[in-house]
Amino acid sequence: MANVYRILDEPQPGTLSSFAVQPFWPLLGVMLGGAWLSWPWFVFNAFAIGSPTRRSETGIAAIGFAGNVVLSIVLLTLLGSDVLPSTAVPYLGLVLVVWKIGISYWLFVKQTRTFGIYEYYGGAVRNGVFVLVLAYFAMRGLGGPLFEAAPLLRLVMG
Amino acid sequence: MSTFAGGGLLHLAQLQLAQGNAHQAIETLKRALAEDPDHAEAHGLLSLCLLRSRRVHAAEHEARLSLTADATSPLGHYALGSVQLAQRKFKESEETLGTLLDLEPDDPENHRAMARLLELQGRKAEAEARLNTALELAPDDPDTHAALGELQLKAGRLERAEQLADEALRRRPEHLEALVLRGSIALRRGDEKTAREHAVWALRLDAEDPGALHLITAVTSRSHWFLGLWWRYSTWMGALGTGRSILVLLGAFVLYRLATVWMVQAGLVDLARLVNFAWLGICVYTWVGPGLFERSLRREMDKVVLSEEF
Repeated sequence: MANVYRILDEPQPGTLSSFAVQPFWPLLGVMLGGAWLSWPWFVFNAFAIGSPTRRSETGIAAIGFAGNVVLSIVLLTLLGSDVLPSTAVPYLGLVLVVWKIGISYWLFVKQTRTFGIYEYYGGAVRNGVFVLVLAYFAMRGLGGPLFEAAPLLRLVMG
Repeated sequence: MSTFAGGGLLHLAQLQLAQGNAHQAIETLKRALAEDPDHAEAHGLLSLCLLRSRRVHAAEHEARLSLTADATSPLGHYALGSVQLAQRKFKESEETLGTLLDLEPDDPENHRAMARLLELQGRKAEAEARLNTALELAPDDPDTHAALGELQLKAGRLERAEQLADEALRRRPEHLEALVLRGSIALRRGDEKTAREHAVWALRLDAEDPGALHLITAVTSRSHWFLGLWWRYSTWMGALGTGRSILVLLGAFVLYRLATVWMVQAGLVDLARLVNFAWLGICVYTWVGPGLFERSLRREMDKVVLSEEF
């Protein structure tokens, strides 16, 4: 077999590559589904396209969830302690929203670079809309009651 | 430096890059490096091709590999300096290009690279002096004439810029940068037709040249305010870099949300609704903007008949 020179940022697609989607879909996933859908999807996609940065993408997603947990606990503690007036609640909630959007954009930008090269070399790309639709209805059917019963879970995963 | 059997491939890659075909040059250099993974020049050239394809991180890696293979490689230094310039690491770039000039003080291209750095730092007089040195070293080099002309254009000295563009075109009638410069001067004077003609001419020579694409985009934006606004916005965001542009977007979102929450709490519900609609408008605009812009640009590009060389 002839030697092949591989450039640092070139993806190495494996067997999962037939499930690769444009990073745009997981980004949309955070808006229509939540972090529970988007960030694991980003990680899965990184492995599917064989991204050389898949470990750091996994790390970012893990940091994202860890941040979600910390921020959610702080938020719920503050709300339960009556330290803050009720008018402060929407402002506090904003911190968590910005955190989630920031992590999602970070993952999106990181994955988009590799994805461009993956596409250039003719990598297979699937449409992610079906996953989104499925996740949306799953959220409405199952997620709603589950999240209502567990507010922390809702803040972390939503 | 190791012995290299793929000299022909290296030459082919140089030719492909010179013709603006960076993607093909990358493939050629990969074949060359499969043969000899320690070839400094091949790594350096690959770095320049990757930089041209905006794969900056990989370009830096290749430039460093080039210098690991041969610490005195001028091409390696040139590539690393150019990558650092693209990363806006001005101090590091100045050091690398300084070493390059110590290694090869008589190559006008090296002086032009330093001039680009100085100009980006706002040291216009030093940049001009550097280009004049390059011109002294090679008085007939159209590249230096075009670079000097570009500097004059930015300073608003249109007559002098035009003279220099003509000088470059007299020496090489299909000099890409000079054609773009000529078009940019025409556009500055409000002559969109001439500007478009020069942009199309330049794109015919190299359909991926950033300067030519910038010019055709500027011409297109002039005739459509809707697209022009998008172009200015995306140029501004592009100049900020990825990290900073995300921070700006997040900052804008936070401001918007804070404002609407405050408005609702202050009883200004109608105003909050208006701000929400305005935000939605911005989202839709930034959503459809790139697609419309690309379509419009593609329409312009359809008029371009590529040269056989490209």
